[in-house]
Amino acid sequence: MGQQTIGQVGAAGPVTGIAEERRGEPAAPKRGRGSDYRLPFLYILPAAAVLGLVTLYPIVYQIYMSLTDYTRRNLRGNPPEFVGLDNFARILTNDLGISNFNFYRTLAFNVTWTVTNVFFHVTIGIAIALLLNRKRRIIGRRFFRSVFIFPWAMPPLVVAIVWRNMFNREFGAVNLLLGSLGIPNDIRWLESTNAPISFLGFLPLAFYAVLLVNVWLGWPFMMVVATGALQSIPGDLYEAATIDGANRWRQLWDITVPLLQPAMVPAIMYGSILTFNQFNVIYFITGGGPFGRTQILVTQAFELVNPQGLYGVAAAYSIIIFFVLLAITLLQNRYLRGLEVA
Amino acid sequence: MTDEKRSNDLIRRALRARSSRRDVVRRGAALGLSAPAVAALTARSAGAQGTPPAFNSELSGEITFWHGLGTEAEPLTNTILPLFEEQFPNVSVNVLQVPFDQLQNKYNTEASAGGGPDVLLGPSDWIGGFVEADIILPLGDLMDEELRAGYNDASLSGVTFEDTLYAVPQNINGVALFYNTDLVQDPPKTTEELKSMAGELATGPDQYGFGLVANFYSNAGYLYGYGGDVLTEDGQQSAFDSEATVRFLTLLQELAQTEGVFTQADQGAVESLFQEGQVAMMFNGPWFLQGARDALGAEKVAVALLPAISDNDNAPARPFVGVQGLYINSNLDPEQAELAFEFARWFSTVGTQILVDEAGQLPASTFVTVPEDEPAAETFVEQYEVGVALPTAPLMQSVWTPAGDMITKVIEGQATPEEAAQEAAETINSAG
Repeated sequence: MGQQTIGQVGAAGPVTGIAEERRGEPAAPKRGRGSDYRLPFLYILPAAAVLGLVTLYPIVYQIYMSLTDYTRRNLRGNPPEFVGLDNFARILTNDLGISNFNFYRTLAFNVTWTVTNVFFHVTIGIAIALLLNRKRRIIGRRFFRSVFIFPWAMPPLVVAIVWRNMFNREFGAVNLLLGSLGIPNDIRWLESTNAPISFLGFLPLAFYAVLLVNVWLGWPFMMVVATGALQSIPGDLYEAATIDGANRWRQLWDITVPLLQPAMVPAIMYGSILTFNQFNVIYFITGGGPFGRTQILVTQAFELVNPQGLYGVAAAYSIIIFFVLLAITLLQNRYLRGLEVA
Repeated sequence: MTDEKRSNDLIRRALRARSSRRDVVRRGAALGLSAPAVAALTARSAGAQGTPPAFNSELSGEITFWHGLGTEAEPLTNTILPLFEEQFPNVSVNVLQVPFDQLQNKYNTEASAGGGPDVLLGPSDWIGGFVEADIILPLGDLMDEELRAGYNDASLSGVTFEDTLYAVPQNINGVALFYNTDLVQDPPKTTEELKSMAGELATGPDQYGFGLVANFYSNAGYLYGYGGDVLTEDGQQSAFDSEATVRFLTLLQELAQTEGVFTQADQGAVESLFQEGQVAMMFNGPWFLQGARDALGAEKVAVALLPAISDNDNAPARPFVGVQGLYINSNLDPEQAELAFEFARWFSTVGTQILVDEAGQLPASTFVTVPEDEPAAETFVEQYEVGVALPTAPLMQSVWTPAGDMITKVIEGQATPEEAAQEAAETINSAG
């Protein structure tokens, strides 16, 4: 009896409990709204509030500003006037009354700047990673690996200012070096408007100067990513290929490159966006000069605020930049998804 | 430099600072400001000849002061501010030195947002923009007739905008021809002479006869010399689209192409070559005197009138004559504004005496005396007599960049003078 009872209790209790819970399952969310779901929301609340305050609110406010004639006059609280899409129209028709402002030239330059930079970053980065990863070890490999990260580890502002001084016409290291080699050393790296490559007339000498700086600055990152990926490629693949009679070149193209791809693709996407918005190098070396021809979108946007004080126009400008970047990212995604399938 | 030489240098500099401090006390006495008797001097009657109206040294508080001075910042921090704090023991001054090319914008932004310094030292062409933005205080109430009588008329009208006084004038300035007496005995009288001398003086690869600063301010005297103007009479439009502008740009283009002329848009680059003795002549203003003298030695720096325009019947060049003024922030409450004004008034008289003595400035206050042994002063004054008052219209803040681009584009061969003038006019007009 006693046993039975215990057994019954023991069996019935939990069993009915489980059954009840099972039966109750569909109803659970209803009941949960009251208690179970409130708690997670509470957990999210602080982060959501902060995010709303520091991200969402500025974005919404910026959209509002882009539709007004907000200038310095409105900083002390008097509300700006609503102008609709006027700011966007003025930007797209280059009608701002600012020296050397040309949205389309800036956009074209920005794309050229990004493509050339990322191309050099990736090729140099992979090439050096391959060199440092050879089976026959280069002496001082570790040393090189750490030294090569140097440019990447330095604060970009410092790098930019040092390079700007190096490109100085009279006292800069670049011209002094050329002079000591007996090459004419009166090159106006950052001011000359001449295009060294005549069919690329829209690229002044200053473009090549900042390109050099940013390539110097950017390839170590790609090298680091490529090194990581190279080290994860199993050695037996190469052994097998050697046995099958594939030469070095074949091995590079059929083993190394495809296996690097998964690591390099995100790095390239990241690098593209970073380079597209590479404010420091442009702003602190050329300042967009000569005549705004090395201006990129973000430096131009900054100059709309400082020194121009055109907050409304600058807000509209950065919304345009957002759509440009969105378009580029979507295109890139599509192209890269294609690569993955292949 | 060896350590010994450096320490000698330091000693010399320290001695100089001390002696100039003594000078100050001496000159202070001349102004009625003998050091121990501050109380007595404030009580002195205001009408006395050669004495600025008394200062209220009882004031207390804190003042923030922004300026964009270069080498002149040295006497400011070493001598002027300590002297001020000695005379106003209850007032402390916070100074911020802002690079001159960023000063206007920084003040504009911060004062527009309700902040900014109490007092700003800046040139008179900023007035229109500041008034439009309502960030400087009109001085009508603070500066009565009696106080105004202590400044020369030219300087007062320089800081007046639409019949209202907006700054305490501090100094008068504008460019003339600086030359290195080691290299140039007779400064050129005309632009043709300037060109031929530039070639003769270019004796080596890094030796230039003339340093052309390819910005608008330094060369504007020639635009006016040809009869041109920056803005139309009402100040609402650019006047660059004119024959005079084309001739002005052509002259600069010829100069830039002349042998022995070093052309650079960056004023500092040309200045440093002048200081090295590699450039024999350049256009510059009194603010450069101290820097040039410190580098080359006082006796080697001389100033002459700007060369007259050869292809315009030797008409004189008519440079901008500007006034450096002390602006009071309009965000201040009346009490703080009064303190700021007292500082400005003191700075434009007692403080400026030191800048006149040490840095060769030309004072706006009639209580400040220019030393008789200052050879440049007379030339500058003579030059300014044919000069043109720096316009104060709000549109001026949109002039400098397009005007500078106009010049460099022509010099670089990116545009003809006609195209460049027209483009600059359009840019300025669409900004207004």
